[in-house]
Amino acid sequence: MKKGVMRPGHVQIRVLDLDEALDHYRDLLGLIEVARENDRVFLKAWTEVDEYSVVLRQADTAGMDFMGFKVLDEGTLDNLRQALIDYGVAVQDIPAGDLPNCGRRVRFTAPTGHNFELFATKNQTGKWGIADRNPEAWPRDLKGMKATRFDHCLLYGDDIDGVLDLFVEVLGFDLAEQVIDPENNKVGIFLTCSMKEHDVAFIKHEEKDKFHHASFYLNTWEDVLRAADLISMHDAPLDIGPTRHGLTHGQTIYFFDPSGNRTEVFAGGDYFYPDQKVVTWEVEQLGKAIFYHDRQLNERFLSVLT
Amino acid sequence: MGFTLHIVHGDQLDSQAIAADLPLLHSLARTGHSPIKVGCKGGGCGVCKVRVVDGSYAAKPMSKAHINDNDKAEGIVLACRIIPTSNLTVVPMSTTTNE
Ligand code: FES
Ligand SMILES: [Fe+2]
Repeated sequence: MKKGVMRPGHVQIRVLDLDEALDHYRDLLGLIEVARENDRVFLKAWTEVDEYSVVLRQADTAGMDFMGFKVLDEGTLDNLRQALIDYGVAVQDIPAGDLPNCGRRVRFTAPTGHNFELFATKNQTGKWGIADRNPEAWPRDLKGMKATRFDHCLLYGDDIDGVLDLFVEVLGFDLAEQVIDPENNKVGIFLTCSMKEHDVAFIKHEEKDKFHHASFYLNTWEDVLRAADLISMHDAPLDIGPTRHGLTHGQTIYFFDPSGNRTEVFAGGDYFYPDQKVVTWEVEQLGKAIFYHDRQLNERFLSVLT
Repeated sequence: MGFTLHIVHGDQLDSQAIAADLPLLHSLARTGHSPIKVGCKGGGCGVCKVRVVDGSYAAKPMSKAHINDNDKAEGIVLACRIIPTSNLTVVPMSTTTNE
């Protein structure tokens, strides 16, 4: 049941070199650089109304610092904060302004070791490059793949049952799709707080707090093919694709940023309503579930993480 | 111009040509059957870890989650982040992290 979590609001990604990272996220992926401060750069995808959604932080390791979800309003944030505490999760209150032009955030660590946060307020600058009255279809001067929005993250961690319970019971997400093993244990879960097939997903893995990818939405399969061309022109490391996922049925391509963090751009994919039955894939069919055309898992998908 | 890479597999030694202007792993990946595991190619995932036992190279930043200062001093590096400046002799290492 929905509890007022609206959408993925931001992700902070650690990179080994900020300038190289900008070459990837700004010039290849097509995000817009909106601000810089010390060791961080803030970017947005053009259809997003908030000021930024991707934060790149210069660090000596790669990976994800945190993923933030935007909730309906400050009252909802209070309710969810209390619900987390009642559930037994330690919360950290981060004051407004810690992220520039962003309101207070409620941070917690999920049972898989990943840091998440909730926030209600961020400066809204509107869609980039088009007016909010009588808007044109799209801005003319986008770069690279012209990513339209930060869509979801896929994270690897150990306690899948724990993170599922927390996201469903406390945060009001629904389980849209799952991968189960022969003993009915969940090894993959795709969670939604919207009409999208996933807003965040987890795959079972022995280590905590591993980052598999951040994903960005494109409008069409043609755009995914164009992204593939750009990956070659840019000589960026390709992981796999263009192909289709069985899970969620999105059309996808994966590639790596210059620090080894995986990026996905995808189009299409199924939609979700809360009365739908959970879509289940059996782990014996994992190859097809992940790469619908090859029907074979590449080892890199399971083992190359940051 | 290029260099020669010698890879130690137990008591066997394989040799192949590598480029002088590319990270070691990128040279190997171009052949389609790299003897060193290919992952993210960006120094983040750690699967391409090797020990350089002979030769010199220039290194780009590598994730501290996989390579600490001690490792570096012992020639333990990520193959995707070193650019050879001489012939190299390397030993592939396990793919586990040393966090
Ligand atoms: S391939 Fe990922 S660190 Fe070298
Ligand atoms: Fe994805």
